[in-house]
Amino acid sequence: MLLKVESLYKDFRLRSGLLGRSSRLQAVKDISFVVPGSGSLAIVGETGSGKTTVARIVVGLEAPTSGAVEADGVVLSPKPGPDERRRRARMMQMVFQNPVMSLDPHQSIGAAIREVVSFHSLRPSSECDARVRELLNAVGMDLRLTQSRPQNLSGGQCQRAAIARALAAEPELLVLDEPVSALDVSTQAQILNLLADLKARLGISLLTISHDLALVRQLADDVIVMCKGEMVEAGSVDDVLSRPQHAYTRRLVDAVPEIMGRPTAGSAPGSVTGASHYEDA
Amino acid sequence: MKATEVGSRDTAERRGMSLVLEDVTTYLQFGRELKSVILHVDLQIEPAEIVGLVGESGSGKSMTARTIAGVLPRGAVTEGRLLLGGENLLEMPRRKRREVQAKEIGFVFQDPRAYIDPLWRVEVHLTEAMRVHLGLSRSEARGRAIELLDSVGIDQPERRMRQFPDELSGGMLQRVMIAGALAMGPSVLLADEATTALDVTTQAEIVKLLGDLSSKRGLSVLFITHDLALADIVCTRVCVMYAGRIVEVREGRQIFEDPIHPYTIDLLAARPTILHRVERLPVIKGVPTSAMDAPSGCPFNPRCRFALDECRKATPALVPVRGGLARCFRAHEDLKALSPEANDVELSSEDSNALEG
Repeated sequence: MLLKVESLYKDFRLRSGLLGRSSRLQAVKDISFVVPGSGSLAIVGETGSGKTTVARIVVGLEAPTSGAVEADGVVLSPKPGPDERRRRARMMQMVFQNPVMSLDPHQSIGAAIREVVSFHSLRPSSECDARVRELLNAVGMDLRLTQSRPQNLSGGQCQRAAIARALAAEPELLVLDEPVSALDVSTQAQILNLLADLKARLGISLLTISHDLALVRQLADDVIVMCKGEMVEAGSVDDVLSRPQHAYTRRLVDAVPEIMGRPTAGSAPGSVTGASHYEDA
Repeated sequence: MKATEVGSRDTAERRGMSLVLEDVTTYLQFGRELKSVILHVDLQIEPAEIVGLVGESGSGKSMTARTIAGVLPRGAVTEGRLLLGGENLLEMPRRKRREVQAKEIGFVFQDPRAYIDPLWRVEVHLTEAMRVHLGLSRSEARGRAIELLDSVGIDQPERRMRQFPDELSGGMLQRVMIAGALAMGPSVLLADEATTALDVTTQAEIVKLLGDLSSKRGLSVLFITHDLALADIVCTRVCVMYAGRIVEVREGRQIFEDPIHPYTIDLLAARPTILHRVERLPVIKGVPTSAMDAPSGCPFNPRCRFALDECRKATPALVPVRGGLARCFRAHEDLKALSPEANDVELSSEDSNALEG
């Protein structure tokens, strides 16, 4: 699936005080990008940059003030009704930052996945259980955990379950909002490898929202950098992270501890030359 | 500059005290049982030094900080020696110990919004402790608070004093929390994931502030983080914790270049890096354990790719290796040279075919 986002704008109305003189916050300003089939794009930025709002508009959780989201050339409804939602869910699924909170605590992992399979009538009910096992296998989860509830699982296991649930709808695009930042370092690698596998083997495209530049390097082909609702830089991950052009991107890269700690880092900031920002290993 | 004046005056006032933990074990009460959450922890922080404590969830890094500050849940028991300026806090009468801990140990947490009363103006947050514990008048406390805000790099301190927490950004609020932690003029500052919830650029500013405060005020800082790269650049010494025990201690920049313990080696390898993409991240199998759930023998043995039979039977001691310390029976071998294994679950082609529906 080719995802195309065209000059997206989103304003939020802020009200201050009781009588409410309302003001407008432009959270997203003129954002456009394309995620090709089996492609992987990341949106990076700091708190309040508007990156999560873009993701929510893409999956239809939020309506844009103006602009359009297209899948394979078809414009998607900005405020999807029930039928449109159902169709949209088959195209794209979102995975959230905190896996324990994004799963229903009253539902076992197996039931949560089965619900999606039967909602979309993807299998006759006699085959649903087998499908659940298939999906859990695919994300590398122990089948003995099928009946467990999210609060009894580790963060990494929950995130695997959340990914399995997203895959149950057989989507063509996964939208990942900070997919590993709530996880332990040693668990992050497992999830990043899993996502890379899914992309390679199933041809799923990925749209990742993150503040973590190392994750972006590992997972994405292209990246756009957002600052205060605007896109300040876009390009291949290699170009943008190794040779950042915009001052804001350079600030972000320089603040990464790995870069801060490099003896050469001190000389780089401030120079606006096209010279390599740091040596590629 | 005003900030340096405050700093130098405070340093002159105080001697600067080292913090030493000797064989400290802390138990928490679970029903009728006591279970250890940190075991045999040895740690030393000199004035003007920043020591890093790195670990994953359940490693005991926060419990170590809470043991030092004496803010443990009811029923907790601490054994060993906890020396501040040479005096063992654990031998002091409870009341005296509380007083020393309240005055000498400042604590900064991960999420400032969870620890600050949203209905208190910054002024109230900063002056309350000084008025209660130091007996300062309202205007004296106010003057000190403004100096403190200035020293943590907050502009227009008078204006900020009147603001509520929700009017401040995360970075600004963390500076207020640091100012609050310094209000009593402590010799020790415990920073527990103090920059984790912040944006990277704000993190860089806060980390620089901690460094400045430590050297100007002679503060002994314990910097707790899950981020090895961050600890590596911030700290003079880094301690790695696993399942309640310190498993490795390295000076300066060695931890990144020359990790000794299998856990540190694999943890460093498992991190994605901004410098380049790797084909497949090497993975540590399993999940981190806490001291309570740790297996017998070396607590890391079920996840360790170098484990031998003896690792399952006995717990290794912390031994000197290559200028550092490591708790591993094979610490003297060059484990890093042995190639990493892929421990993770890969999709079989059968699974992925099935997935395509």
